[in-house]
Amino acid sequence: MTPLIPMTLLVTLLGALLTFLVPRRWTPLVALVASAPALAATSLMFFQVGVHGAGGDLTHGPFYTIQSWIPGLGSHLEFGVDGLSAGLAWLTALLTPLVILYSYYEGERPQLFFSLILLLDASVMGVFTSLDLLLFYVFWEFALIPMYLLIAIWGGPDRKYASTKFFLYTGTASLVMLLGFMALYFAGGTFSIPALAAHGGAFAWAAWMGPAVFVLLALGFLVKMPSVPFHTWLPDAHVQAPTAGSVLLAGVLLKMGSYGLMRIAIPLLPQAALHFQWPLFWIGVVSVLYGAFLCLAQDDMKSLIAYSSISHMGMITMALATFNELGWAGAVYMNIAHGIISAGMFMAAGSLQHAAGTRRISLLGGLGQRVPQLLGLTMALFLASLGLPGMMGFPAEFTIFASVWATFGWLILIPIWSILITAGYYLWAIQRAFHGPEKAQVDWGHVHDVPAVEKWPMLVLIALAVLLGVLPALLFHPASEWTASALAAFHLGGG
Amino acid sequence: MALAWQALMPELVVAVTALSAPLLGMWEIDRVGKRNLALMGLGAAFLLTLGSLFGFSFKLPFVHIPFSTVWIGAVLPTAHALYAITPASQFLKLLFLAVGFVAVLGVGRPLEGRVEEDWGEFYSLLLFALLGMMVVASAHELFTLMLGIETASLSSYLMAAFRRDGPGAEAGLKYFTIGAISSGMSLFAISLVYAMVGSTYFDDVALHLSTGSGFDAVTMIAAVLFLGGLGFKVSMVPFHAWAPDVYSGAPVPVAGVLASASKAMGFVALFQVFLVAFAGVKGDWELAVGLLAVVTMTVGNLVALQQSSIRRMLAYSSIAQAGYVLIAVAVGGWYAVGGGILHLWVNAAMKLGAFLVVGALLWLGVPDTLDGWKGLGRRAPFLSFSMAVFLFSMAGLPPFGGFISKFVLFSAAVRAGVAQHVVWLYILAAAAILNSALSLFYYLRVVRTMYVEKPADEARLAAEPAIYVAVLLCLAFVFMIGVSPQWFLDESMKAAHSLLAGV
Repeated sequence: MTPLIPMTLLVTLLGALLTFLVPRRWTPLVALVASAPALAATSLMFFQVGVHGAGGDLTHGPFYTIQSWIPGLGSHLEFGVDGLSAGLAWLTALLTPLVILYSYYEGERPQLFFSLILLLDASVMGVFTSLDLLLFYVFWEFALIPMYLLIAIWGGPDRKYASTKFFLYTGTASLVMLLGFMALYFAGGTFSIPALAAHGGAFAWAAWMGPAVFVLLALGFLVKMPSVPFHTWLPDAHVQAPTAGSVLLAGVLLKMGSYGLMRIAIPLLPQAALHFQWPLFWIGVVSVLYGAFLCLAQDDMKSLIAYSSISHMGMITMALATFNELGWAGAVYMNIAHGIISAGMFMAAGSLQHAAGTRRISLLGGLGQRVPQLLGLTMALFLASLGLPGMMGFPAEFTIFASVWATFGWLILIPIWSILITAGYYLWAIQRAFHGPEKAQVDWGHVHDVPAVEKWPMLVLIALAVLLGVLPALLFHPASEWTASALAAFHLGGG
Repeated sequence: MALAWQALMPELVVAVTALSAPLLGMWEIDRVGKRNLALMGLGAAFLLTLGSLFGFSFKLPFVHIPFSTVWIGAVLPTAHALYAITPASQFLKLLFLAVGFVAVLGVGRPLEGRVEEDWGEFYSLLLFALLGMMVVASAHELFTLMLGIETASLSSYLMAAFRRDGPGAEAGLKYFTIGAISSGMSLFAISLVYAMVGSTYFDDVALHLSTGSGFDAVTMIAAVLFLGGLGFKVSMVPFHAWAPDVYSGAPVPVAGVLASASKAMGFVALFQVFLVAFAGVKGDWELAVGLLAVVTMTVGNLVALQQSSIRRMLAYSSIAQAGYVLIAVAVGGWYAVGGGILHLWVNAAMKLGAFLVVGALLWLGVPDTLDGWKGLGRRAPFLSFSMAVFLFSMAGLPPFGGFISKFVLFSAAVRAGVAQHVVWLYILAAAAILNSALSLFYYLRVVRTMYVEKPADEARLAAEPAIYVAVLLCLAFVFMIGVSPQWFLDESMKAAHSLLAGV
């Protein structure tokens, strides 16, 4: 029982403080160095969990640690990772240094900027590793503050509206979720997630409470993912956020929602979850299709990627609704896949803005000749997202759709068109922006290709997308261990 | 029980300091000297109260003040508890004394228009108000309770009017008029209780009303009158209209004391009357209080959304916070009351800290409006950071103290709902949660103004060191409760047990 996780969080928090205090010229470097311990620790945990097979076991895993926090409320500092969360914690710690590198030359209030990124890093890692509902909520809610400030201070022209909307929308949803947590606490007598899961959904409350609490929890998580119809905060937040903010928002904050469903809502209330299987499925299908169709209509590149995020997160909801092993493993995989790929895509969009002066596809054209590296990177990332075999997107989408077929049969014909539409909007966007005739609206004098600080993070992400696409077992192995133990509560298997 | 004068040491110290503060003018001691006297008095009283709570003794030259837990339980002067020293009473006195200490430290100089000589009077008034609050904490009998409330109120009316200008006079007069009416209501209620019970001691009232016929008409009228009389003190709707004007017109530190300590005193009185004296009364008054709680928090939050003056916004926010603590009165039980007491402490720190920041900035020339506060993040980094923490804490965001205390309060409603299978308690909790969400906006708006907007004037602002210390104390408390609340939570729960049991 090593306290590696709390120590990692503490070190990252101290790193954030240090970053705030050092003189301006040292800030990006200090921030980069401060993000390294978290990456090392989470990589170690990911490796241990993945290779040494602790993927299904929370309380007996090598990094499980528990310490008393508020005895008066029965809350503990309980941390641990398994196949579900090790990858997500690693993803968070990976994206942070990449984002810091990408924004290395941020000139506006860099001390605050980089320390907020590190605070966000610590907070989100805390969400993925805490096993106590109150602690989970503390980290979950705290992440709102740095994200809000990142959008509000360094964002685009409409940032005040977008950041306030983000804060109020997701803050309200979190409070609703808190209500559910309170009910679980009083019914189960503890905040501990493993202990509550052991109840198997059998709490001493009225029969309608189970589904009601599930709805409360699901509301909080679905708003975060975001799922249609609670998705309207995302496009604004993404378009107005600085690239660093968008990358972290899409890469890890959205995953908090799906993680919450997988870690808390479904395991703690299995009967209620099964009860809502069909509504979850339809919500997922609608998100998949609605997000995909709206992408076709977007002019701003970031907005396009935002709606594609909604679409891909909808696939996760759909996969969770299948309640079979393939679907759930696919959901875990898609969490990481989408995190890596959309992070890269947002970086590409940011680079497009820097290179051409605008992200508006209608104003761009014929850029490809001048920015060949950016074109290559963007193309690779878009192909990964649309599910080209050989990159991460393919195993993710394939397993999800296969599981939908297994559980819902011919209904698969409804969401499956999204694959076509996705290919359509990505290729169309590239064709219009990078190929074709050179448009007059672009300031051709200032067009330049991606600088090194922006290029290397994207290359890292593409390499990971290829690696995990060619060797998906690296992720599927720990994921399956988790799904096996999670599905045991439902007495279902296979599929 | 013998007259345990040692148990009354804190009150004696405060009274002596209050009486001597105005006399200092005779020796031409300046404002800082008078302030230091007040601080010493409050500090000594705080330590003595702490000592009586934990049973350690003080050795001073020529005087040995032994405390032991024997004094806990000391009752004066008869076997009927007129005035009881219990863990609850001492814990709550700590709150009042701490608020007084920090307020005196943070007063600085925004008492515009007053001359040096008047400071003695000001500290004296403040100390007498605190004395009244301490009496309320220990009262076990209705008239003693009223005595404490009146002492505190009369001093507060004068403090509110301390500014010699229009808003100040208006504040004082409004506060006085409405306060007088509410005192009349409370006294009438007491007379009704006396008519029914034949005694005004809490023990007798609780005994009689629980064996009586229950919720009959006279008891109901008395309860409603108490609710009105005491509800005014905590700015419960519909007795809240005085709060925005008084908080805006009074000197800012006074507003801070009103929002923190005076409100806490009102709630202590409400706990005493409704959860101790009226504990045996059957009837649906909990539902009525719950309804009032929801209305109070909603009105407070909705109107706060429209304020552009920071002080008025804080006043309406204070009304909303009163609504949250009313949940403790509606739900009852040690968990809810413990949460209520914890929230009174955290609210005191947050509100006092916020008002001190506003006061310091006002004196530095920053107007009390959203426009004036633009870009403060760069001009006054420590004060804006503290204000942001206080505001996020009021909104109930972790990892600040407001989250923990609100959590305990709201979960008390859920807990009671799960235990008693009563649906309206869930609705109460849901209403509180939604109100918290509602309040996010106006708190966020101030943080946004401070950090996101550009300032009109880039000049840095620096206040008196004492103000920084005072704000830092509040900040440290808010962080402590947010990150490691165990000890304080346990003490609050113990105080709740003690208050409800009356021992």
